[in-house]
Amino acid sequence: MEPEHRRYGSAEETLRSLDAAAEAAHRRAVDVERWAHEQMSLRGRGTALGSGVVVEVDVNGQLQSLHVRDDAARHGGQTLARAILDAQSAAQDEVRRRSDEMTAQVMGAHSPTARAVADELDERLSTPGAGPAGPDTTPGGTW
Amino acid sequence: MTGHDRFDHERLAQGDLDRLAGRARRAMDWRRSVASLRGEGRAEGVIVVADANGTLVDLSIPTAACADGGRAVAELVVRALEDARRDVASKVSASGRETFGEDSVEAARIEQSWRDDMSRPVVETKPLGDEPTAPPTHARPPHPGGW
Repeated sequence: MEPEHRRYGSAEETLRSLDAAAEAAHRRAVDVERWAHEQMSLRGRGTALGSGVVVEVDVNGQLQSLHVRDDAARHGGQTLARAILDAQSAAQDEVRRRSDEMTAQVMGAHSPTARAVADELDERLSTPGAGPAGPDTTPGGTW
Repeated sequence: MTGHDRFDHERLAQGDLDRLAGRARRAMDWRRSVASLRGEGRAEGVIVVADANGTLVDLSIPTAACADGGRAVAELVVRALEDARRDVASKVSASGRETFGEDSVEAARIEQSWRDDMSRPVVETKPLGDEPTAPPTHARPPHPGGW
């Protein structure tokens, strides 16, 4: 049978291995902290009508900025409303994509954490058009 | 400690656990139920619908609201969205009071959380760098639906 000190290595080797494990754990903790910070400050940007409508959303899918150029406004209300919703969807898609990339890098693409983060995002990012506001049928209106 | 004391203590602890589990279940059911809540906001004919997270989910813009140019209509959308978020926050709070009780800790937390979240300034609408400077082509009518 192998002597005890051979099976577990020398005290020096054991300490080196513990140091390496502690260092790896520390690196991972730093990576995860950075990931969490980056995740919370994620922004997505989407455009429509060329670049006449530009929307930015945060990680919750909430509108952070909305820019409408005068030439986009000239398309009329219905087209502009659709364009804003489309640009928001594109911005939310970018949040999803960037979140997936960041999470895959730190947690692994197929890890349970990556899946949980993706599910959480899917739940948070709403689908435009799901609400009750529809075109006004008031005579004289154009939407 | 007697066996009887220990038994009573265990029964009490189990009761506490049951109550906590019941509260957690109610909280989860409530959270699911508010996901379908919507708030509506209006600004000069622009109508915005926001979900319980305050996210814009539907939007109607009268063409007349576009008359003063891109920045003006963007500001109307933002104002309507802020209005919609206040509306949904108030519905969520009402639902919290109804589910957990008027003076419950849960209702107070919900009220605070949604009020804080929904009262944040929504967005900036400043013009893009390449914003054309063309003046509005015509004045906006005073009342929505009247064009």
